[in-house]
Amino acid sequence: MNKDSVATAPRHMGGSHLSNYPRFLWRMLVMATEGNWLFYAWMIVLTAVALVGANAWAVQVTQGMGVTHMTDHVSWGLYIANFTFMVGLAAGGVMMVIPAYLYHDKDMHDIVIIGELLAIAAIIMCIAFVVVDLGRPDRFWHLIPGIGKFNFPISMLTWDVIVLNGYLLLNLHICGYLLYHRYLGKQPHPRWYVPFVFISIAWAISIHTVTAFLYQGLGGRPFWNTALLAPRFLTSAFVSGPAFIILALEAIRYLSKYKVGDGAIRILVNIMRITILINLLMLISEIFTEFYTGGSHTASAKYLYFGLHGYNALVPWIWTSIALSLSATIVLLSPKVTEHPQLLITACILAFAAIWIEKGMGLIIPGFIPSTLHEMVEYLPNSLEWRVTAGIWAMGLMIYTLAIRIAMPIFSGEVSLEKDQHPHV
Amino acid sequence: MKSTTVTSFAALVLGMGISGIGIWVYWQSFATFDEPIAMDIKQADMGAEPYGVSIHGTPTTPTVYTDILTPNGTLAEVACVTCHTTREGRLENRGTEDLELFHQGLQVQHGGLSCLSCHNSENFDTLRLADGSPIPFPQTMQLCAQCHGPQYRDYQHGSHGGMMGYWDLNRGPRQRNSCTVCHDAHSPAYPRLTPVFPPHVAVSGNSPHH
Amino acid sequence: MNKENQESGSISRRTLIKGTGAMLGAAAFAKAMAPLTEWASHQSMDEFLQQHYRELDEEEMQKVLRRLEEETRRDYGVEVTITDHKPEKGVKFGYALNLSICVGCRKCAQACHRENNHDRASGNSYIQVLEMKKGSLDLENGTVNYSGPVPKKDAFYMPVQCQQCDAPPCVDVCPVEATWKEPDGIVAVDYNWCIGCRYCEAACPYHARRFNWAKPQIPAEDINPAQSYLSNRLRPQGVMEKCTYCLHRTREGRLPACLEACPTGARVFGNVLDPKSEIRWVLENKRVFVLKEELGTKPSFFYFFDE
Repeated sequence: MNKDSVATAPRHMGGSHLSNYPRFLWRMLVMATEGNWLFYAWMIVLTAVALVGANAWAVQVTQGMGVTHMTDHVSWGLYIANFTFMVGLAAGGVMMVIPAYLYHDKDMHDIVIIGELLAIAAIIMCIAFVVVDLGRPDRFWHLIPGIGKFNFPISMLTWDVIVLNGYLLLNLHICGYLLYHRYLGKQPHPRWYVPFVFISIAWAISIHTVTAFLYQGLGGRPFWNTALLAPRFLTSAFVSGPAFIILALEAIRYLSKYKVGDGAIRILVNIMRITILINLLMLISEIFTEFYTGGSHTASAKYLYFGLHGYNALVPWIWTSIALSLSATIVLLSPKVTEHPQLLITACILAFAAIWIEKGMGLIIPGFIPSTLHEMVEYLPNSLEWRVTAGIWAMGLMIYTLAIRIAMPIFSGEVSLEKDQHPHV
Repeated sequence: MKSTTVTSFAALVLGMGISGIGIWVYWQSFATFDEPIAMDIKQADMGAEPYGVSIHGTPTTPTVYTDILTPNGTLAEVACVTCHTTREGRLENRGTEDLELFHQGLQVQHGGLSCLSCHNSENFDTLRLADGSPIPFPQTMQLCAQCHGPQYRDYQHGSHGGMMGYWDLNRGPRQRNSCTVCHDAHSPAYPRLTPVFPPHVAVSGNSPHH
Repeated sequence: MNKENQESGSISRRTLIKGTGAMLGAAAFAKAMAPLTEWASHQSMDEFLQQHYRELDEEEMQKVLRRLEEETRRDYGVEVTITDHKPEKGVKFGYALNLSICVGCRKCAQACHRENNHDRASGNSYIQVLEMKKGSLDLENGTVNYSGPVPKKDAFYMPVQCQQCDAPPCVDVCPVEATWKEPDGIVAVDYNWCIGCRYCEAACPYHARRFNWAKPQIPAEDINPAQSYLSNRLRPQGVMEKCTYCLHRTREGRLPACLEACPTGARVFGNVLDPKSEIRWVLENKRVFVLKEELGTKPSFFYFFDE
């Protein structure tokens, strides 16, 4: 059926790609700068926050990273915590792709691009979080294979560079291809995107696995040195990803005229019901192993959950996370959650916040406390780190908002080449 | 139906790819130090090392100051034997309580030794080994070595006692300390020290939570 | 007709507003990034384009060294000599530390601080001295924040610095090969190649690596002018550094600064390939152990107790 429609696609419609593609790009730019007052207000707020973040980062590069609260003892902080979480969010987008392409779910197929665009925005945020964590961002070119020195395959960070950029390119290609063809009014040819969709499913798993391997391969950090880390990363990603997508879908429902099928949301809720339980199960398994075994290997877990030697900066964070996680589980498991949008939104916010703490500060910081020589030096981010982080979040939300702002009219057929060429027909 | 075929094919390709990469990683191996060891290179130029090890702080034959002024205005210095040719040493002396004159204030805390365990009562300008044979003061280390064999052995192999200079005697000399530089012969326990400050956790402008 | 005019009028007005918005945005962005552009204008292009240490030939290296000396003169007001000390054939450095006679005075850490031109305010050093409870080798029972007088009766003291591992996790994880194992066993860092990701700092099990959180501050008269490219030259901001067994001294045949500073002689240094060396005697005759042996890092730094 697809083949036929491609074969018979009217060629007179648009002329060559050489003229159509620039036209498509221009149309996207125009769409990106148009909207109602709410859109403008939202974009102005995000721009302002992003600029504050950019300024904070500029100060950090100029004066050195000593302006943060990181130390030689806790040498990664809020940035890498957010990076880790964002990789999960990017991977989580795949939870729409699997039902849409593997199980041919109709509702999901219509809006799968929402998940793919989330992957793009999240990966760009990941890269930004890595860049702001570099002491010498000006030497970024050292990481480029060919002209720099790329310690592949031994350094897991080089793997991460490959998988993150690869995932970004895959999703840019899929989204770009689909949008362009929708704009042209042509049926997308499966050969040019279906294989990439399948690769992207495996790739989504790989980005979070490789990111977990960054940490879990370090023998000197017992808190991370557990085989359960990668599976935990994945399950938590499949909680936070769908949670964020549900929030985005609800926002689209309320703030725009586009239809979002209940079926898609129901599938995402069902996914979350399972993943959030598996995530809790793995957490229990991890906690059991740590505390039943005991010994100095447990020091970081003790510090995280109960405080150690009078230091307990992370204790409120992690218990908040556990409380949020449990509440979200209870709400999600109630059979009628899909019928009450407010309840669902609350559950998604709770789950999202819980994973943000658990996979962010709750994972990165205790890896460093106590230090490898068992020194107790605590860490809480300072205002500069919060500003830079907020700036990157604002940038990511801006990208995501714009992407949806562009994608929805094209996907719904509201904007197309034909309509652009013949506005009064 | 079709999607399952595609999926299993994709999984197969992926699996093969991953195993291929795995084998490659294994062959590449991790950073380990495996430079070929050329033992003979250093041995060849050993033997006659142009520089030596010197020991500083070697004790000299002691003297004491008297209250007699010399013509040039300094206090007269005399050898131990000046008095000790007339005064017998007492074998039973283990502490300083019974000593007078020049020995006052001397602290002795050196196991169960008596004065004459080390000092030679036949010639107080020398020391004596356990077998009774006299030994000059500059060779004190040999005397110490009688009882502190392990320490002396370690010292000889550079693992006891501070040093300065060159690890490579082909390129420069090395200075060592004599035992008595660090250990007072009468009270040899190493003194307790006040340590210097440890490095701060904070760096400029940074105040981490402590 | 009228309606169309209105539309085109509103479109051009909208375009105008958009243009103004974009300009305002660009101006605000330029303002926000101003510190960075100011900083970038002070960075040298030669440094930016400099190749990896192991890619530089003799002539290029000499140029780099002269440039670094010039920069030190400019930034710190002091004349220094920066050399590129090369490893010697047939030499592999080993270090051993006698825990029975270390008294915990931290003189080694202090000597390291001075020798290696560490930032004065932080009191930084590559050596951390742990006060350990007798009867335990568990680092959890140690503390670095002890005060005198030392040694205490129920304690022993364990200085920890870079173990110059033969299977160094820090080298494995570096994404840009800015740190590597030299033929004489030293794990070196190219301060001009490191991107400052601090992955090595996370990977090191011995807390041996330090990051330059800011440009090191040292009064001109305190700067040790005898410097080496891979060791004690003044480090740039935002890169990693670590103990190099004082390679600017040891590759000249001299003893490391921490050893010379040790008042008790707890430290033994030498060439483990030389069967007559003192380090070899210790390795062969003392019951030595390495820290965290179970991690498989194969340290070149050994500890032992007398008897």
